[in-house]
Amino acid sequence: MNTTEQVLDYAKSVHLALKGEPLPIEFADSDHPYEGHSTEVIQNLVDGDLVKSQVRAFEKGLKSEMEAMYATLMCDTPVKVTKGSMDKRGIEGFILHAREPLQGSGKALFVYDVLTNKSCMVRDSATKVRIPKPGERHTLKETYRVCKSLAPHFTKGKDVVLKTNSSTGFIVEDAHKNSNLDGNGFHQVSVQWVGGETSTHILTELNLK
Amino acid sequence: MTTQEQKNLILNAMREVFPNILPSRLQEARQAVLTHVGMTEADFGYYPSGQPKFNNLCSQAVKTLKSTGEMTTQCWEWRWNVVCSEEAPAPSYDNTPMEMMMELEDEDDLFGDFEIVQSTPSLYNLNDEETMIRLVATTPCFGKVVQSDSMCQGCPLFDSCCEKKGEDSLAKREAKEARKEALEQASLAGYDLTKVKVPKSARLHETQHIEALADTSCVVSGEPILTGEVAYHIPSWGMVKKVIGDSYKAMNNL
Repeated sequence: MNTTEQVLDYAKSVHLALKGEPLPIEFADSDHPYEGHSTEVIQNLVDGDLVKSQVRAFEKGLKSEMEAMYATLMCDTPVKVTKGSMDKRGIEGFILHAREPLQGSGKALFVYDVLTNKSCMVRDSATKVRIPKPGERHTLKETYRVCKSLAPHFTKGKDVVLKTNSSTGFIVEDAHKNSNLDGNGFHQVSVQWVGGETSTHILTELNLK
Repeated sequence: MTTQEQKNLILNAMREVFPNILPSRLQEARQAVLTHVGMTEADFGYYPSGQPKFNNLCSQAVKTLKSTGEMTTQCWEWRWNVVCSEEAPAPSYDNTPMEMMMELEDEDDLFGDFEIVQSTPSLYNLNDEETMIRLVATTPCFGKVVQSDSMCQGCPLFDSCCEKKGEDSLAKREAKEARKEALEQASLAGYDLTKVKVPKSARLHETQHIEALADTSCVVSGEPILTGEVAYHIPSWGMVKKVIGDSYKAMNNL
């Protein structure tokens, strides 16, 4: 029992023998050493020391992979905003676009957090690379996919509801990608809400009415 | 009131009060004397160091009563000797060198509130459970006595430490025997557990006796554990065959 696959298989069989049911899945399987199954549960079922060392090794590998991506400011690199105003600082998102800044050195990054739908434009020196949370990159891919597939349906004049607070409004222009991101990022629409104000949202934040 | 008069006052008060209240603790007995004479510590005055004279006068009076056999002390507890008290001759305070020394104020300051117990060689009353517990708690080497070590020989816990070490070695010996026996049992069943490395994380004391609800395998031998088979789950290690689990339980005295 040396590899993560072997450990996971054994943990599954032990869980089944103990509880009579399969080992539950906690996260989508991206960036998780045990395909999204709880590390704590596995640690309790099988050799805890081995599980700990495998998790450490996995995180080390992931970290070096992310560092390599960050070195070239590649799109979809997970970063954390460490400087800037209070509304930007602390955002943990992915680089969706990198470009030359209007002034100054380095690169300007468009960072988007797919879990909270917060975004910001920051200089690369205001960010640091991080390890993606389990399932986070899966959510990122899903967001790309769903936005692309929904784009033809989000057309001007259609009524929409904001998922987070059930606000209603209508789309003021067809779904499109942000022109400032040179074809990167998610499909988005501008919505005029019942109150009169207008805001922009990516398609996964909205439901068609 | 001169110091001599104060001393006589305390001595007389002790003779009147102590037969009724002793045995008692030092502080309570002193308070009883103060109550009896209707005075406070301040009435007896203070030394330049700020220490109350009353405590020292009490110590001297107690010393006198001890020298006449009227009372005894053990650590902070005072006891009245009833037989002697009735026929005790009038005490003389200044006829021994020790008492003369006790009258020196500098000496008094050194001792403060504490009685000098000359009959007990140790500073600690090891018969007192609380004292013993505190002493053991503040002695990290307790139970690791080296009998030839002069430091150990001078330690007040020497005897208890030897006793503890004896117990420990006995327990170790018993554990070793139990382990040997368990290994033999496992060996008879065809398992050599001597070379098995138990992970540090394994929580053997939480071993769970189960009936397997599905097929799995033994983490030690690799043999299959079939549905319905009685086995053990050792948290943070895995499933083991019953014989192996029993051996580990015996080895760890569980």
